[in-house]
Amino acid sequence: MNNNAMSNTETEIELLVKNMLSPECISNPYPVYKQLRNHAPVNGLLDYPPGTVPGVDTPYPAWVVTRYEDVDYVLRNPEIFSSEDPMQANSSAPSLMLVNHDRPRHTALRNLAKMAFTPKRIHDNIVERLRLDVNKIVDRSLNTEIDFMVDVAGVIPALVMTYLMGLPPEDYKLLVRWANAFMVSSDFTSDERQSCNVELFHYFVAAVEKRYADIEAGIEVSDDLMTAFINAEFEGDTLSKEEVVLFCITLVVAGAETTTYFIGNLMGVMLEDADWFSKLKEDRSLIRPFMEECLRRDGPPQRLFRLVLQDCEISGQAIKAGDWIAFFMAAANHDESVFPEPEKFIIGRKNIAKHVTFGRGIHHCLGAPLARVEAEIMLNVVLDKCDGIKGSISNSKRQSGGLLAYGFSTLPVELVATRS
Amino acid sequence: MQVIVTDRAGEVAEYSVDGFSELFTQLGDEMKIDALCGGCCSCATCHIYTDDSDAKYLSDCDENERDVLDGLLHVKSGSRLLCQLSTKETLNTLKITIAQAE
Repeated sequence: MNNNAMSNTETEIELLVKNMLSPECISNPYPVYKQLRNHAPVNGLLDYPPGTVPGVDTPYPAWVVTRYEDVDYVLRNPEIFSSEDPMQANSSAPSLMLVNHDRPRHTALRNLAKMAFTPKRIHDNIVERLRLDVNKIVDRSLNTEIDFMVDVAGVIPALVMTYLMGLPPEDYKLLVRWANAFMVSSDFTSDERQSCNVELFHYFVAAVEKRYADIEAGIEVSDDLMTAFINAEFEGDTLSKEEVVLFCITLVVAGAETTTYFIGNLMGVMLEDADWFSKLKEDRSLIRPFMEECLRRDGPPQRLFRLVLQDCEISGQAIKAGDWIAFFMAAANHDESVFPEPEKFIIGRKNIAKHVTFGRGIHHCLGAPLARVEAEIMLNVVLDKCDGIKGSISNSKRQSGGLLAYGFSTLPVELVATRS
Repeated sequence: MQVIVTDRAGEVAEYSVDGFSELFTQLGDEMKIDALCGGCCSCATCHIYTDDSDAKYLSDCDENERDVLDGLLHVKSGSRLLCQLSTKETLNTLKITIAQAE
């Protein structure tokens, strides 16, 4: 990349970065990323990690990293780029487990959590139950205009969270609200956001207390992730009660909203291009490549943060220990030097496995197999039960509350049932 | 060491490498494995099948690797994670097959 061939002046780029949190950029950030990729990282983004509250917490200025090669470098070097989040630690937000841990503690925690997300566990404990529930969810959504985000996409991942932690299924609505507030998307006032953080914390303190009490009383408890965290031991190390609570919160915020937006974005592609419905209905082997290209082109988690531990260089730009980095997986996924014609939806790209929506390296998304299963079940159930979908993408609206997530806030659609 | 690798498409290729981490990197670069976690015994995208008769040449499977393998739907005896593999005894040739994605 030739840094001499800049098409924007330094001031223009700085302005571009300053405006990244505008609703226009949040709802369509890709043209901005395209311009930023022409430059080495620029400092000055004032943005909000998950859990922090705009208007209450003071953002640290961040370097903006957008090129694939650079994002890959950050992801693969956790000893240089720490996942601890001082901004989140100073806010009212509960700290996240795993996501905000470095090695060696990260390894121990990951080993505890990963057993619940194996392909076998997902297959044995989640798939059939979810398929039954998704059938019911779609059945009650047929032949009427619905908001896909509220009635389908918002329900499935939060419902799965209730299975994973043995919570009452009807509590999924609470989890959706709290996840939206935590992930700084959607329109909440700063007071509402802070209240949500507190409610989320107290909900799990109560649920975890009850589970501990039941276990101590010898009552049979559900064999789920919450029980596993309570009973877990790794090399003599157990989790404290507070860590169990924080793990539950981490699952909710990491897995509810992101997957909701993913499921919504899949429906969005089908509304954008009406041919997809029939192509997928006739050939279900296209579902996986369709999902992967949607993850690449429209991946919900747009960017994450790292704290720099050692002086280093990114694309020739000197970065100092103590600096704060915002790296944009979504910008990397649109790097034309890796994915030609990145704005186009092209399935079967040979290097599609290189998309970084689920990250890479030690923090690669633990829930990725689960997210894919949820999405695949939704698609297959809709394709089984419907002859088509009606609606226009122009009636949709993308969330514009924060730069973390790319997804629809509203997606009106009608699922047209097959005529039996 | 010569490693004869059958990939997921059934194509066979021979690699001349000093060790398995070199093979891991090469197969990742060629996108024959995703190598998503970068080799830290986590993503299982480097799941391979080895012949049972070759087990004596290969490093023992530790508890972490075993835990990951046991969670896979397509695990068989002879399953290993390439990112964790090394040789216990001198090995000139090895045959492996890249397991299907989970």
